[in-house]
Amino acid sequence: MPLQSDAELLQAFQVPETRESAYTQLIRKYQERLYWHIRRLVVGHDDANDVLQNVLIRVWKGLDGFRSDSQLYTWLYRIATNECLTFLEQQKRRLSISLDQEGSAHLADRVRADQHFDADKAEWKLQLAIQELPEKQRLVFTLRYYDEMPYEEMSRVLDTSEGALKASYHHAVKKVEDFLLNR
Amino acid sequence: MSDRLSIQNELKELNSPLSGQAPRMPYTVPTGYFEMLAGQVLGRIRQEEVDDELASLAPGLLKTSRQTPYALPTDYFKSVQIPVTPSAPVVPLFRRTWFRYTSAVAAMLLGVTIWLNQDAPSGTTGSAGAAVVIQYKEDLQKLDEGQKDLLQEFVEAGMTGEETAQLDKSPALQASLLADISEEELTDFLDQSEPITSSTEMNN
Repeated sequence: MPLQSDAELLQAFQVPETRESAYTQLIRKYQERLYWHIRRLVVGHDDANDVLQNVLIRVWKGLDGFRSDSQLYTWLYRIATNECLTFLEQQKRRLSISLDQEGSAHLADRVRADQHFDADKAEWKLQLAIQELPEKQRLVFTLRYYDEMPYEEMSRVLDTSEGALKASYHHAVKKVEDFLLNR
Repeated sequence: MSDRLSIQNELKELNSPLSGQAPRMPYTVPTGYFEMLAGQVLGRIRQEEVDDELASLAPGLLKTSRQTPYALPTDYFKSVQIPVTPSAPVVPLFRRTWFRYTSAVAAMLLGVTIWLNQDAPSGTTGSAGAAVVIQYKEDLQKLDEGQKDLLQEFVEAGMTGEETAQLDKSPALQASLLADISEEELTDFLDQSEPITSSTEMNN
């Protein structure tokens, strides 16, 4: 079945007979973008899968109330980002009790634990640099650098002014640069 | 989304070592993950709907394990083999050869007798009937298997070639058919229906 426009998918979702097929289409359309957005933040595949499934279930429950005055993908990213932050917060709380370790250090360890990790390769080094960033800068950096999201959209996803996002991005880029050149 | 170029220009302005490089993700995804994701999520949604329904109907059941407690012998499904033994073929009664011949002859005898009773003048029935039966037996022996099958099917169907649909207009039958129908229902029906014409009868 060919992919439909967001408006057509939303319309089909309102009809009980086509609800599941529209939802399946919607997942197929956005799953990879959402998955990679989540994966860059939580690092492990299993965690990314858990978070993504939770996101998609929230989408199923909330799509009836979605107001089409904002773009669907902005709404999806917003849900995915919030779900990631909740997951990371829970993980941090669990780790601080059991390991007394910072969340970002833990995430860097997760990067190194990947079976394909190669410290000499730039793309792996960049992942380590990203995990060193504070949470908000990490979000802004990945949304801009990988997802190529305009600041205007990003401000809707993260509820932050465009100016603040630009400043965050600039800080993040400088920190990444420092990591890549000096470590 | 903004294009890659504007992001690259931005990185260049910041003198970042990332400028001029296409973003690459080193992580891998299990094979077939994206093909199965939608099905898995829909499965979870259905499961949650069942759980929500159960929570409202009988919350106590939610805590009960849904595992079937019955035990199976180890490797039952691997070891189980359905024995395939050749069974004797079941031949329906109507397909048995002796039955075909007997029923064909009996039906013909019956038909001949009826025909003789209808058409032959009284007093000649016995001898003429016997002659015709002998002739039919001889004719039957000349038929091959296929012809016998066709003849048998024709006789079994009880057809004479002159069947037509008959409309029984007897008052007794009409009265019995209308016994459970009220006057009001009849009036409604007649109001909504066209009167039955002779051409309608013929078509039926």
